[in-house]
Amino acid sequence: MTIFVTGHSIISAIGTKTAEVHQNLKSEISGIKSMTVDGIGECNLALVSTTNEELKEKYTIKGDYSRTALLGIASLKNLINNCSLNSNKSLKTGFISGTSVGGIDATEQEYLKHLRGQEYNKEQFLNHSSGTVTDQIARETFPFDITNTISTACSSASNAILLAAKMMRMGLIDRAVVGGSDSLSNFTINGFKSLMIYDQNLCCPFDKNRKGLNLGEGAGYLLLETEKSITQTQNQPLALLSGWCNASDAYHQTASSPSGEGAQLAMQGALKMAQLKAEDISYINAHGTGTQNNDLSESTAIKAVFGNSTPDFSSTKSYTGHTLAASGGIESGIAIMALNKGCLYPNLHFKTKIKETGLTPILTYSEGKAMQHILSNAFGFGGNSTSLIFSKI
Amino acid sequence: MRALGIKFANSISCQNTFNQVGFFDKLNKLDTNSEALVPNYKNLFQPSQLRRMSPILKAGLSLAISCKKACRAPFDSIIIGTGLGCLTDTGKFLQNINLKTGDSLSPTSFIQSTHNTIAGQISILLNNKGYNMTHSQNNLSFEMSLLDAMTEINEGKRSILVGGIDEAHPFLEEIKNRVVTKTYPNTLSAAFFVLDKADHQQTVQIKSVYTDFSSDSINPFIERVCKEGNIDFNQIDLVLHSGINSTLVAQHARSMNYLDYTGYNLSSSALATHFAYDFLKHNPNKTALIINHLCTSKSAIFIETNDQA
Repeated sequence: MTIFVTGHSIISAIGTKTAEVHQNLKSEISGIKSMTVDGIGECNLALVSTTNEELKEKYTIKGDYSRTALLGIASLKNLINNCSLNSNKSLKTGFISGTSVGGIDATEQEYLKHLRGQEYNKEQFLNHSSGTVTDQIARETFPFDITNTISTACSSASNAILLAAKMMRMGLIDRAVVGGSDSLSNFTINGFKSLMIYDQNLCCPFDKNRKGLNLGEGAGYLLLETEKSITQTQNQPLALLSGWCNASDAYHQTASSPSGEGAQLAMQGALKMAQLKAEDISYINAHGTGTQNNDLSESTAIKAVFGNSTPDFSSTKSYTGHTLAASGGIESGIAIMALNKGCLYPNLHFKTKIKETGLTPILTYSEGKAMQHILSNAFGFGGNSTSLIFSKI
Repeated sequence: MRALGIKFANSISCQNTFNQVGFFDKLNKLDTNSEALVPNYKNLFQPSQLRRMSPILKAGLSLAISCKKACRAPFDSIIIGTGLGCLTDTGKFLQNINLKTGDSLSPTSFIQSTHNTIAGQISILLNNKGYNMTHSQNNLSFEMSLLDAMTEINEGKRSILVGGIDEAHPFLEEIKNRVVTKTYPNTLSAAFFVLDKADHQQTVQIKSVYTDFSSDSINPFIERVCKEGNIDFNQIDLVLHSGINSTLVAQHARSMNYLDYTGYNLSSSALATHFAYDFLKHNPNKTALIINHLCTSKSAIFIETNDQA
C-alpha cells in the first residue's frame, strides 16, 4: 500500500508558517533565546513567541485549555487551511497525536498550590491527561472517526506517524492527521535540569565540545492519505511515507547504548521496509539533541548502518530546540520541505568533529540537490528509537 | 479486524487474581477501603531496586516477568496502555520542585515519570529490542493497545505483550467528584496478556474491538457493534460494563458492572478483560462483551471461546 503525505504544518520558535520556518532555516536564524526562568535562573529555551491569549484570539479558540492543546489546535487549523480536509463519510479519518506531559503546564501550578495548602482550582485537572489534550485538539478542529495518543517521550510524534501507517495498511483508516504537541512546563524544565544535560550556551549538536541540549516547544503534524483517499480529496501528494521502524535500545531508561543499537535497528528496519540500500538515502534529519550521550551514540549508529559513505545529515534542534514529543512531527515537516526543495539545512554552531566517529554535519545551506529519500530519526526515554523514511513522489 | 488469541493472562488488582485461574465466581464487590493485593515483590526484585520503584512499575514489571515465564518465546512487540501514567513519580517530582533548595534536584522521579517508563523498563528487564509502544488515550488506552496489537499481527509479528495499567494516587481522592467518579474506590489495577494470531488451537480470543468518539448515547453504539459483529446481543453469555445506564444492558440476563469489582481507574477495562478471559476459559463455546464508557469515548471488546477447552 502507498501512503502519501499531502500536508504538513509546524508551530515552533522559528515560525508558525512553513514558509517562515524554511526562511529561518535557510538564513541560519535560531529560535533559541536566553531567558530567566523562576527557580532555575538563566536558561536557553526555544519558545513559540505567541502567548496563550494570542493563540486563543488568532485561532478563535474558546476553551480553557493547556498550552499543549492550544499549540496543537493552532497547528491543526493551519494544516486544514493548507490542504483539503473535508468531512467525507466514505473516508475513515484518524487523529493520532504524541505528547510527553499532556496538559501539565495547566495543572502543575494548581498542584503546587495544593502542596502548599493554598486554595487551588480543581477544575483545571480536567486538562491534565494526555488523552484529553488530544480530544480537545480534535474537538476544536475536525470530526475524526478515531482518536489516539502516543506517549513515548521524545519519539512520540514519530510513533504516531508509524502507527497511523500501520492502521492504514490494516484498513482501519483511510487518512490521518499525525504528529505531536508539547509545551514547556516547569515540570519539564526542572526535569532536564535535574539530569544536568543543559547547554548553558546555544546547543551545538555533533560537536566534540557539545555540552547538552536546549529545550523547545511546539507542534508539528502531517496529513497522511491512502490512494483511496487522495482519489476523493484530490490533494496533491508532497511525499511518500515509504519506511518506518520502531525498536528498543533496551539499555537504560535515559541513556542510549554506546553502540546505539536501538537506533541502528530502527534505521535498518526502516530501510528494509522501504526496500532501500543505505546509499539510497540523500539526507538524514538526525535526532541530534546536543547531549554527550545522544550524539556519540547516534553518530556510532549512523556509521554502523551507512559505513564510510555517510549521507548528508544535520540536526535542526539548533534552531527549534528539543521540542520533545513534538520533535518527530516538526522534523518530519522539515524533512519533507528539504525533499521537495532539494535543499540541505545546516547544523548550527558545529566546530570540531567528535573524535570517535569523525562525522561533519551539513554546515551551509544549499539548494538543488537531487533527493530521493530522507531519513528522520527520533529517540526517546526508555530507549525508544524510531526512524521514518520519506520519499519523493 | 484481526482476532487476537490469548495465550496467557495475568493481573494485579484488588481481587485475588495474580497467578490465579478460576477466580471469576469468587470475585467480591469492593468497598471504599479496598486496596490492591500485591504479590510479595521481594521475591522478584532486589531491595535496592524496590526502593526506587513506584507501585505502577512494580506491578507492571512483575506481570511482564510472569508473562515471560509462561510463554518463553521472546515478545516481538511490547504495548502498554495507561490513562494517567506514572502518577506517583509525577507527584513526587512536583513535590521535589516545591521543596527544592539551591540547585540540586534528584532526577530519579523525573526519569520514572514518563508514561513509557513501564514499557521501557520491561524492554530493559527482558533485554527485548523489539517494537515498544505506549498508548495514553484516557479510558481507551487499553483498547488502543489491542488495536495496535492487531496491526502488529497484520505486519507479521507473532507474540505480543499487551498491558493495561493505572495506579491510584491520594490526590485523586482530593479531586474526586470533579475529575474522577464519586462512587467507586480509586484503585491500582494492571492486566497483562500475551497475544498471538488467533489460530485454531486457541481457546479464548479477542474477536474484535470497536471504539466510538462521538457523543452519541450508548444503546445505538451497542446495537451497531453487535450488527457489525453479527452477534445477537441477548445471546451474549456475559456482558461486563462500566456502570452504564442502558435499558439494553439492564434487560440482559447476565450483565455485571465491572467497576464494582475492579474499582475506578482508566485501565479497568483491561482487568475486566482478564475477568472475562477467566470466565470463558472454564465455559467453552461462550461469548463475552466488555462495554467501556468510563469517559465520553466508548468501546466494545468481543471475546469468545471456539474450541472445547
